[in-house]
Amino acid sequence: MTAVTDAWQAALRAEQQAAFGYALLGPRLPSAQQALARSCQAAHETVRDRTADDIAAAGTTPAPPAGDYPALYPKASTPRALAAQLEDGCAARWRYLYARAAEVTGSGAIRKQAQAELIASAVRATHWRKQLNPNRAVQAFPGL
Amino acid sequence: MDDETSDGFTSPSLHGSPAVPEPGPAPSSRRAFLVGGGVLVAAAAGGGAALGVSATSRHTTQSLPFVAHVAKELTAAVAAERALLATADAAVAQAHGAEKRVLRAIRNDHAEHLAALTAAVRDDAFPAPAPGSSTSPTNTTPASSSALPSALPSTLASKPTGRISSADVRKGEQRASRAAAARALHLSGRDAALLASIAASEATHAELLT
Repeated sequence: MTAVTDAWQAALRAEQQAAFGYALLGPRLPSAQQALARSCQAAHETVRDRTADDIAAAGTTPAPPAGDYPALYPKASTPRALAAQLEDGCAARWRYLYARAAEVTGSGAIRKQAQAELIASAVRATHWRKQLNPNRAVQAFPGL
Repeated sequence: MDDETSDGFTSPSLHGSPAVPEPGPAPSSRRAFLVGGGVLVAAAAGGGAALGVSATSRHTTQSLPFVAHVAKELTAAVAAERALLATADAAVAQAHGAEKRVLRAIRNDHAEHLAALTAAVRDDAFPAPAPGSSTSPTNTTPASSSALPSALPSTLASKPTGRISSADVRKGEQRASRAAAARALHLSGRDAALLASIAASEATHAELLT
C-alpha cells in the first residue's frame, strides 16, 4: 500500500499548491473571471481538507503544506495560464494515484475519488485554456 | 491585468513548516501504458492457451473468467470510441468556422483514444516476454492468431445520419465519460488508468462545448 499512500500524499500536495496558487493569481485576473477563480479555490480547499482527513483516517499523517511556493510567483503575471497549469498538476497527481490504486485490490473508494478529482481538474483546466485558445483547450489524455 | 483588486480571495495560508519539495511521482508517460499490457484479451476470445505466457508475468495469475471480463470491457471501450469518432466526423463535416475547429480538436482526441485502446488490446493479446524469460515464442502466441481480430470490433461504427449539433456531441461526450469511468473501475493496472484518463478527456470535451 506504500505506493498508493505516496501517490495519495502527492495528490494532497498538489491540492495544497493549487489552493495557494489560486489565492495568488485570483487578484490578477480580470474582474469578470474572479468569481470562477474563487470557486476553483474553494473547490481545491475542500478537496485538500477532505484528502487530508482521508489520509489521516487511513492511519497516515497527511503531508503538511509547504510554507511557500516561490515558483508560482513569476507565473502569476499570466494568471489564466497559471490556473491551467495548477489544474494540470492536480490532474496528473490524481491520475497517478488512480494508476497506483488500480494495481491493488480493495481500492475502489480511492479510485472513485481519484477519478472524480482527475475529471474535475481536467475540466477546470479546459475552462481556463478555452479562454486562451479554444482550439488547443483539450488534451487527449489528461493527467499525462 | 484588467483589474488589480483582490477582494474575495483567501490569502495563502502560510504555515510554519519548511517548504516541502514536490517530488510527486512523475506522471507515467503515454508510452507507459501503451507498452506492455494487462491481460490476454485474445486468449479470452480465442482460447486460453496463452495464459501460460511466462512464469514471471502477472498474466499467469489471471483467471480465465477475469481475462474474459477485461476483454469485454476493453472491446466495449474500443467500440465506444469508434462511435464517438464517427459522430465527431459527422459533426465536423457539418460545422463551420470556430465550431468546426473545436469539433476537429475533439475528433482528434478520439482518434488518439482509439489508437491507444487498440494498442492496449493488442499488447494484452501479444505481451512481450518478460526479460530473461525462457518461454519459447510459441508459448507467447495466443492459441489462435485469428483470435485478436475477433476480439476487436472489426467494423467501423455506423455513420450517424441527420444533423449532428454540438449539443448532441456534448451529450454523447458526457455519457461516454461516465461509461469510461465505470469501465475503468472493472479493470486493473494500465488499462484502468488509460480508461480513467479517457473518461476525463471526454468530460473536458463536454466542457469545451458548453
